[in-house]
Amino acid sequence: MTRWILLAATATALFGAPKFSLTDASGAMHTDAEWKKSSGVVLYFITTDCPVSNGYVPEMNRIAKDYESRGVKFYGVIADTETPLADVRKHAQEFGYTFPILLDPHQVLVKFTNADVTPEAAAVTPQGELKYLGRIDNQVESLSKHRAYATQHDLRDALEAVLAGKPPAKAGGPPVGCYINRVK
Amino acid sequence: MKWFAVLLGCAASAGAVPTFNKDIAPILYENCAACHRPGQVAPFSLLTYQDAARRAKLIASVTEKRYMPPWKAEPGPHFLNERRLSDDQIALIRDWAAQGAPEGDAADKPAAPSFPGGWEAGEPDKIFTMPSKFAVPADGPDQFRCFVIPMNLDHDVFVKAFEFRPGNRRVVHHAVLFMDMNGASRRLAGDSGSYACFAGPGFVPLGILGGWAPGSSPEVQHDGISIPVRKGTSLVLQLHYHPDGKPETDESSMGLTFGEPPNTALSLVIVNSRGINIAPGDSDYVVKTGVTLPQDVEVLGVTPHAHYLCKDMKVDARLPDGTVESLIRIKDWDFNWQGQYRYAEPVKLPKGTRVEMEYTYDNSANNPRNPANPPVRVRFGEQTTDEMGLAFLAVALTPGADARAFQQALILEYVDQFLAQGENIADIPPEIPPAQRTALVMAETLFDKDHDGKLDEDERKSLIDFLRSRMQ
Repeated sequence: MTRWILLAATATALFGAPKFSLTDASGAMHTDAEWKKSSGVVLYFITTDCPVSNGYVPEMNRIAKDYESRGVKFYGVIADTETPLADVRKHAQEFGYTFPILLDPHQVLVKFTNADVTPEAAAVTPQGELKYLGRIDNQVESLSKHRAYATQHDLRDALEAVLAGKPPAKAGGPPVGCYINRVK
Repeated sequence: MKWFAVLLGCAASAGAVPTFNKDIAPILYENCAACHRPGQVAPFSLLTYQDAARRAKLIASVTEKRYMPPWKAEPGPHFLNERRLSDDQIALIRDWAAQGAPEGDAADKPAAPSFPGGWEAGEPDKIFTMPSKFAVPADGPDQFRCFVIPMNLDHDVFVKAFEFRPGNRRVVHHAVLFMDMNGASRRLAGDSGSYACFAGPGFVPLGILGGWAPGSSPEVQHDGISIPVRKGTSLVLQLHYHPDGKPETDESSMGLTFGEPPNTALSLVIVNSRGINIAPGDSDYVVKTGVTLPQDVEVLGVTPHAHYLCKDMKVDARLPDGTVESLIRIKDWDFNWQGQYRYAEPVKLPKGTRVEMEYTYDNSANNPRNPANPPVRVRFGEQTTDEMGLAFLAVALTPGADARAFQQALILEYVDQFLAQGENIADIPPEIPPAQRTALVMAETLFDKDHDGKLDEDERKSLIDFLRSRMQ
């Protein structure tokens, strides 16, 4: 568990805040300049065909609703580079994400955070410093073991810490879902 | 880059690097493609190299954990539809993923499997569809729903094959088809045509016509066997829905094929432990019980059942000569993957065989499936927060056997067991309907000679002897 925290820290140290301009599913352009106007940024790493990721969409939307009023900006990031744009558009529309879904064809954001799984969430400061990478909550303990309701809300806790200017706690367990296929 | 190729070459001489075309495609086609192909129940297809290679790490991980293919039974008796990878196959996938998921030589690639469209078991005699579409919310707890479907038969029929067609493959997790003869299900459903039902169908069913889980094939009965269905029967389709992140609707259907009457009687043997009472925090609560077979039988299939706390299941047959045969073993019971396990060949068990059940439960906070947080005391019952410990054995009697005598002998054994397990009248589970509860209380009162509120062994024997004398 500490391994990916360390890796994430290393990635930030090596590359610093990412410079990017990425289009979302509706064709709008987004750049890192948007982050500076926020009080914090959440990146949800997702794919169109991972059932665990899809199952989390309602909770992703609820968290966005709760924290957007406090200035946090939310993005979904399609972590797979081979999904056709038409599939991404259809998926985004069907699931009703309330925030932009970014296409990341060169995995700039995947590499910046070192996300390994979908769904996985990253919390970043407006200056582009990665503060948290990990599970959204503990509802899915493993692929075959789900809780009826989450009892730990790791991402919400991390956001409270980031907004208070404190270092967030590490996630209480590894993210569970579908591994991200890293491209060279 | 060349030195890397040389290294790979060395590895190859020690044990060839697995490739998709030569090693992986045959495993995927045989074990995964039935669901992992376009339009089927799985979330993605695994037919092409591109499909598989970009998910190599995921495939290696889920096969290593034996999460996929979904098959919970341990090696032992052979079942129909068994989808279990060997340790060697799992190692091949692991090595293939670790070596960068190479495609290999096109000449090695097997032909993609073909799946005929339409009904797999042939055109059915009658198709039954849910009375209306059911709406599944985007998230929240799984839904368990019973749909009442009148058969409107004008004569008795004998079901030879059952094929279920999920209407919405994204949310239908599993299905069980019960039979109702006395209208109990229609009363439960009211005008809506369906009702919430978590464990059983909420009434004592006349029987089970079949089941479905992802990857299962149509249920076609062995030669000489068919399931009698009487005129007036209603089908009760229990569906387990797993929300998928967006609102969905489902309208599932099923096809039945009819045939000749069976040449032998079918029956159900129920091994049931009602005496479940698990203290909060107990991570190893063991339940043991058994039923002795009053006649020779052939076991066609076994349906183990428990709720979220059960972790380990063992059902064995102890033969009169003392030998023990495993009927099923599940080391990581998962309520979400329950279903009937049908034997590839019926298992012959002689009269006097004891079917023994041993289930283990984890009611600690460390069990993520525990519906209560913090854990609470859990007793026998049909609700999500209760537990059960059951094994249903579908059996065929020998041709010409007295089916009525077989059932009567079993019922006496069930009553005896219940009385032995329930220490006193206050322990009769609330799930027992009021009429039966009254009858039991009256019988207990009549036979409780020393008036201590419970039946000791002698008193129980008198009651059973009395019941037996009334059954002639």
